[in-house]
Amino acid sequence: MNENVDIVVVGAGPAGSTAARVAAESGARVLLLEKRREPGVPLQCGEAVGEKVLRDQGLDPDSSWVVHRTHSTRAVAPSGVSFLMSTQKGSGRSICMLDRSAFDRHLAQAAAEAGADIRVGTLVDGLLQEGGRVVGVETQHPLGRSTIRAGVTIAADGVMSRVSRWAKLPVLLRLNEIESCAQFRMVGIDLESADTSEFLLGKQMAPGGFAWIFPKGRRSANVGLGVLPSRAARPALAYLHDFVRSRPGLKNGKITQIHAGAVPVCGPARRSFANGLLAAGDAARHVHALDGGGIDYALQSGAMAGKVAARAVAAGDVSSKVLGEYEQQWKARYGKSLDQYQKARKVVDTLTDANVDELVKCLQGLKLETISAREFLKLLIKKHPRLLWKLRKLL
Amino acid sequence: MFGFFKRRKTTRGESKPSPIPQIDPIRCIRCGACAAVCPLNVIEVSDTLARITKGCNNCGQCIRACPLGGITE
Repeated sequence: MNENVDIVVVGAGPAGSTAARVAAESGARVLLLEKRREPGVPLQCGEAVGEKVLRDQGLDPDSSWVVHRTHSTRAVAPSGVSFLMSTQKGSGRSICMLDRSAFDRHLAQAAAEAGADIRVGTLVDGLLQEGGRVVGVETQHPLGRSTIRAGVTIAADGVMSRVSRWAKLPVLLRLNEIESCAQFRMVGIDLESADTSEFLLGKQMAPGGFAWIFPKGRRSANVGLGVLPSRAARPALAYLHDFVRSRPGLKNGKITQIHAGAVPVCGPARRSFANGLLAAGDAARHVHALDGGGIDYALQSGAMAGKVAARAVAAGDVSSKVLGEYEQQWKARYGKSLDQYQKARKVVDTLTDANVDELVKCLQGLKLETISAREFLKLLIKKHPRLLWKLRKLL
Repeated sequence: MFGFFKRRKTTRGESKPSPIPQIDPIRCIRCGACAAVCPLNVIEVSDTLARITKGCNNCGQCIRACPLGGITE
């Protein structure tokens, strides 16, 4: 079967659904393709996102898909020393625990309501290219094959990003540029506080990554762990099992779900567009390289891609000259931050466990709301001048 | 005596290393970590199945990237 649309979007995650919604709102004929028959399932996410991120995108954090909130975050160093960052309740800075499957369904539904067509259970297995321009995709569906021609193709196919790679965008990940993550949904655990999200560091425990505990209540949480495959000797799942067994509050809990996924931590792709194609979200590597969060950038880049694509189609010019405006937009919005997180990540990767302990000890007892960078520097100079040398690139 | 030789032959045949990595469908949850690091972009992950399509050169990146240890040589 042959079909024709203005814009085809590959992947109905936060980036794709947002792109499809925005493009449809701008009047384009949009088709949103999702390989899963049930979007959002299986889960591949820690499900934690900042309340501010949701509000900034016009999403209401009191919706049914926010199942819990935490108001403090604890970073735990290898030796067990930790420091706590807290926010006031009602300050708009809480961390929201999503029901990510429901969240994805909500976004896909919003795209449909805006007029986009959605086709689930549809795998994109090829890209149509003519004279150096992307002109659509080849799909497989339980009912057969289909060739979909489109003015603009938006690649929002997540970490795999096969579509961008067919279009020759530089998005291949090396083994030191990807966090390989496993996660358990646990119940019957005993958390000190249901109001605290935890990040735990340690080279033995999670080489090149960290473990997390994101509460979904007092006795249930997402407990996960990511490793850099270039440094890990075993799969993430093995490290996660060891981690859970080593924690008194967790080891008697029950595992009700196993999730897995991969997070690109290479920094944003050097090029996110081609003739007739835009890449958004994880597919363009728009991820916070330190904490691995990607929903924020997926929502934002999706919206920008949708808008630019719709405008290009309306103007009848989908060359990379016009589509390149998308890259200018996201670089202006958050390109610098993504680069900084990436730089910081490289520095953090060089820290030893002892360095991390020292750093956390320095931060301990400081009130983060009032502390200035200068105060922190003074403290570092006094206590750990060597550590300061290592951190100099961050300054 | 003949049975002995016959069995040995079969065993040897089975333990022969396969030319491309094998994805264990029981462990795999189709997260796509393997596809993300495949330098040749030959791993296809559908809703129900991850499979290595034509052209794999057995580089082994996918084996190390899999969070669940679901890919073996």
